[in-house]
This record gives sequence, structure tokens and C-alpha cells, in this order.
Amino acid sequence: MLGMSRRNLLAAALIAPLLLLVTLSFLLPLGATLYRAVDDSEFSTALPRTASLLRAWDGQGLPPEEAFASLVAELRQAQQDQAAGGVLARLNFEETGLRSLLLQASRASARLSAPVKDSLIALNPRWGEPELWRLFKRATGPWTSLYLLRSLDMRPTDQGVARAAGGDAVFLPLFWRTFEISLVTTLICALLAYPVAFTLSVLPQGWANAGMMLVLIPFWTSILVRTTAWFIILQREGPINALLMAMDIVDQPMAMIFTRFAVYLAMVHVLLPFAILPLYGVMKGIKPDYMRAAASLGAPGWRRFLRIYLPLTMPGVAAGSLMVFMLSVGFYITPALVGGSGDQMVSYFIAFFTNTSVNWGMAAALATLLMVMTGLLVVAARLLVPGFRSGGVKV
Amino acid sequence: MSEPLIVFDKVTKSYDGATQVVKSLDFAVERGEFVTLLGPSGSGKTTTLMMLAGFEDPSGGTITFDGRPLNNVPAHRRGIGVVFQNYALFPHMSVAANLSFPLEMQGVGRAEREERVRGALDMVKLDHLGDRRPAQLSGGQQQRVALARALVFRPKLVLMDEPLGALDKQLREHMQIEIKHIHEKLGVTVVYVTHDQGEALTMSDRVAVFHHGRIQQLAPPAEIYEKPANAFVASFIGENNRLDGVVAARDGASCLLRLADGGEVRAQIGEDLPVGAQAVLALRPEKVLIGSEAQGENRFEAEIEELIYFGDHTRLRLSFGGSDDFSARLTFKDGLGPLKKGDRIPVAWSAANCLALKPEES
Repeated sequence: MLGMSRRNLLAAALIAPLLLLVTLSFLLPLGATLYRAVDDSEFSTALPRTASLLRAWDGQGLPPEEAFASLVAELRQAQQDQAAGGVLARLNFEETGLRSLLLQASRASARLSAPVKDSLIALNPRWGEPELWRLFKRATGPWTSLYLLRSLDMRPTDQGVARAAGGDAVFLPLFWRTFEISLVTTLICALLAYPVAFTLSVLPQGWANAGMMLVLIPFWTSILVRTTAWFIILQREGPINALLMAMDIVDQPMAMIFTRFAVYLAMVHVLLPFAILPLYGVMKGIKPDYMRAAASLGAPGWRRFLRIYLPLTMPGVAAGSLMVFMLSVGFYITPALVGGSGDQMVSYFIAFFTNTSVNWGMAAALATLLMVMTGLLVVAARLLVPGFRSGGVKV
Repeated sequence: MSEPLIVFDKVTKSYDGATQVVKSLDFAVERGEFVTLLGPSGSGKTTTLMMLAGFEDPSGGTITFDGRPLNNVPAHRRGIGVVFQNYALFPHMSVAANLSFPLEMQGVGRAEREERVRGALDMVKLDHLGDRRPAQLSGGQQQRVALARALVFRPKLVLMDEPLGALDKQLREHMQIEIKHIHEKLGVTVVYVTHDQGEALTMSDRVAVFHHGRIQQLAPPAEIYEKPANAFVASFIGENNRLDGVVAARDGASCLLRLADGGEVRAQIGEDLPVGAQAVLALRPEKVLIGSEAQGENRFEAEIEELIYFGDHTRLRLSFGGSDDFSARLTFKDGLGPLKKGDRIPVAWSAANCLALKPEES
């Protein structure tokens, strides 16, 4: 290439495998997810002529007869080709009942006499509602805010945006819960990790290595194994309840499994090493001379801690907390196994929309919003929390 | 004279309970004095400083500071300034905040704090750098900040642990003079640790030479240099020719030493040596007179092994008295022509300039 020396070419060749891997395994799926969250191609793919007729329509009153006829004909054809599933699911998701309305029209298509418009309205008066046709017109794509708005408990309308119809808020409380669980988990991890990391950092080398193994062995154990262990331990008939009963501390089993407590317990257990390891690294790097200097300058123990040690270890707290928080936000298996229905997080619903209801638009929209919100929170933390800035304090 | 500021009384220190890093220290430092603890690494000098600062506890004995025993007084209540080898400036605070820290700890009000921080920065000529972070300063500037921080809260005593070790030679020499001036101006007592003998000799009122956990000699620099108390001090401070011999006769403060090659040298008695005892003759190269200047009680001939050019002088390596590593300085007053290896020249020195000492126990 022009202006590229052998050295640069070699460097490019060396990073190429990594670049390829990142592109294939991260950038492409990420892009696909972002795309899916706003993509609206089902209607125009299955019913292309109707879509172009509706796009040309000005949205006043009812569309022309040609659109009615084309819709029925194309729908019938798509059904025969087994290509109507996508558009039916898409429209029924926006408004429940549209699937049966369309199927009714498709089934009746052979019996409909011209003009199709009047026959359809005679079949079902809903076909005479301009709102329905405007909904179809919106569904011709290519982009939609439907999934993103639904993920925020809202829906698009002719006039703009309204609260989601016929239901309580679902997703906003879900996001709120996700961040609440993540923040509490992060806080507990930071509070537990700090003294542990400190102790490890001041222990003689042999003891520190032994202690580090206690941190690392769980860290190397699969999340699934650790969560399943909690699942067993916390059972109604599990060892903890058995012990408490045997010691006459409680007279009937405590509800531990399928509670928020169980979620926090298992999540903290899984994530604690992520908080300990960076903190340990930072604490190891703090020379004892700083604390000695502070002592010689007249600072008693607690002031040495608050004024010198804590600020110097903040980059470790920040790095660990950030890691724990990021991982918490995406937690799926642990809440699913040990949490109740009110303890599930956004990932649970992403999995639900991906696997169960096969609504990839919603799955993508939830994932996109989770990513954006997490990103905003991290940016806010960087600006507001001392020691969080990436440059941080040089220790 | 008022009571000493610091008194070490039979102070010992052992980390593992078996080997003593410091063995029975007994010494005192007067108010306003600049005392340097000098010794090779592992000699116990830094441990001594750490015990004084309160970072280590003595295993035995008592340290008295300003009239009170320091046992069980934590470091932050001692009011002793410390300059660390790597400065230990708090990296997350500005220079001014670093200086302000000890004043805050003392509860000094904001206005006075600012005033004193300015004064301290002025003193080390860094008044324009108060807002910088330590990492933005050069090594020499950081050193000055550390010095200012250790002095700003007006301690009676400042400890310095190899404070110039990380600086290059030129800056080190400059800072030596600067520290000396600050000491003279403030009248603060300084205990200074170094392994650099030049630093110890130029800066100190008295030097304590440490070896194997003991003070080998505590005396003013000139005495340390001219009258080393034993063979270790003689060899550790400056250069010394060391010739093995046996005490042949004693006469008051001087003795006659028979060298390995049979030559007899008259020397001062540095340590108590009976007739017949093994002894070491310590003689500084610059005290050896050669050529036309070679006059004195001890006069011999020696053969040149090597000539080494140093710019301001030339060093001669001579073979003499059973040693082929006997050094002398060739100055320009010796009246000798061009010399070469193998020439025999007269050498001489006065009995007052050489010492008979006990051989070092190895």
C-alpha cells in the first residue's frame, strides 16, 4: 500500500487475526443487534406492492381501492408461500388482534367481490378505520421506533408517542430493577473486597498466596456451578434451613431461595473476585513510605486512611466496581436460578424475546437500551466519582 | 550546655529474635547538631533512623527525645520530620497540599497554613510550583518539596534517609550545600543517613560510622578522617594504604611496626596493641611524600608498578612493604623527572600521619 512501510505492514499482519476476531465476534453482532432494534422490513418484504402504495398514500381518510386489493392479494400469496409469519407477528405485536384480522381477510380473499374496499369493510368494520391503515403505512419501514419505545413502556401513534396501551409499566421498572440489583451488588462487592484486598496486600508472601488461592479458586469455577451450589444450599429443605431448624433458631424453614436475598448472595459470590483482584493490584503498588510519611507529618491512623490510603486506592475501587457493575447488568443465569419472578433482570427478558416469543426486534431493543443506559451511567460515574477517571492517579 | 535532644541508651533491634540488626546503641545528639549515620548497607543505620522516626520499635533499650522516652509513642505524635529516599510525596495532592498536610494535622488555621506553605516553598525556591502535582516535577524539585514538607511544621528534628540518593552527581552536590544552608538558617537538628562518605564529611557536624549494627566511631568529620578509631573506619572512609605488620616496640603514643618485608615503620598507636601483636598500618596516599620531598621518620625506596593519570594528580601504584598495591599521589612538587614503571623512587612519611590499628576481624 502507498506510504506503508514493511514495518507497518508487518504490524498490521500481526494484529489482523485479533482484528478479524473482534470484528466477527463483537462488532458484527453488536451492529446486527443495533440494526435489529430499529429495522422494520417485514411488511415491505412480504407485501411489497401494498407497501409502496401505502407509502404513496397521503394518510388522509382511507387509502385507494388499489391498496385494499393489493393487500388481500399479496397476503394470500405470502400465505401460500409460507412467508406471511413475519409480517403477521410484527403487526400483531404492535396491536394485538391484527393477526386474526388479517388471517380472516386472507381466508375470505376468494369470496371478496370488487370493490375490495367495500367487501372488506363489510367483512370486518375495522377495515374502515383510517388509524388501522396509518398503522400499516408506518409499518412499511424501513425504520421503526416501535421496539425501542415499547422497551420504555411507550408506543408510537399518529400523533407521536403515547404510553403503552392496556398495561402497566413493565420495562421501565425492569430497567430500574436491573440497575438497582447491579448497584447494590457492586456496593456490597466493593465493601467486602476492600478489607480482603487490604489484608492480602499486607500479609507475608506465603499467607498472601494461600489467601489469593481462596479468591482465585472460586474465580476459576464456572458461574453455573457456583450458582447451582447456592440453589441447593438455599433450598427450603437445604442444609442451611436444616441447620437452623436443628439448632431451634427457626421453627419452620426460612424462605431463602427465589428471593432478592438469594440473588444478591449468589451474585456477590460470583463477582467478588472481580472487585478484589484490581484492588489487590493497586494496594500492592502503594509504597509503605506514603503511610510512613503521613504518620511522620502528624496524621493518626484514621486520617492516614481517609486522606492518603483511600484516595490512592480509589483507582482500584473504581476499576473493580466498574467491572462488577458491567457484569452485573448483564447477569442472567444467577437471577434465573435463585431469584423469584420479581428478581429477574433485563437479560432474562432478552432471552425470553429471543428464545420463547421469537421477537428479535424487542430483544435487540432491550439489549440496545441496556447498553446505552449502562454507558451513560459509566460516563456519569467517571465525571462525578473521584478516582474514576481513566487517567486517574498515578501511584 | 543544655541536655541533648536525642539519647540512645542500650538500644537494640532484632527482626527475627535471633540476629541483632542493631547491637546496643549508646549515643546522644545535641540540639541543632547535624549528625550523619554513615555505613555500608545492612550496617543498621537505616534501622536506627526508623526507630527514631517511630516506624520500628526497639527490641531493647530506650530512646529519649527532648527529655521524654519515645517507647510506645506512635510516629504521628513524635513531631519528627522525615525526608524519604524516594520522597514519598502524596501523588494525588498538589505540591501546596502536600506542604499543607502536616499543618492541617496540627490544626493550623487556613490563613496561617497558606502563609507558611508559601514561606516553605520560598525557602526551597519553588514558590511558582505550588499548584503542580509531584509527578510533574523533576527529581530535584521533588526532593526540595520533600525537604520543605518535612520542615514546614517546624519539627525539632528532621530525619533524612539517603535523601539525595536518586539525584545525579551534580544536583546531589548542589543539594548538599542547600540542605547545609537550610540547616544553618533554621537551627533544626538533623539526623542524616547516607552511604556516601563524601556527603557525610562535607555536611555533618559529627559522623557516626556504622558497621555490623554498632557505631564504630562517632566524631567530627576531620577526626573520622585523620584519626580513624579502627581498621574498618580507616578503610571505609577515604583511601588508606594498609600494610600488615607486627608491633616490635612501643614508646608512649607511638610504636615500631615490623612489616612483612622486614622494614620498620614508626607509627602512632591508634588502638591498644601489645608488643608482638598483629597490626595494620593505615596510611593515606596523600600523606606519602615522594622524590625530593620524601623527608620524615619513615623513609624507604619503592618500585613503581603503575602510573594512573587522574587529571589533577597522578596516582602511583608502588610495590613496598610486602604489598604491590601501595598508593601514593604524584603531585608537581616532587622534583622527579618523567617516571615509568619499574623506576625506584624514595618515599617517606611522618610517624604522626600513620596509625597502627588492630587487624579487622573478618
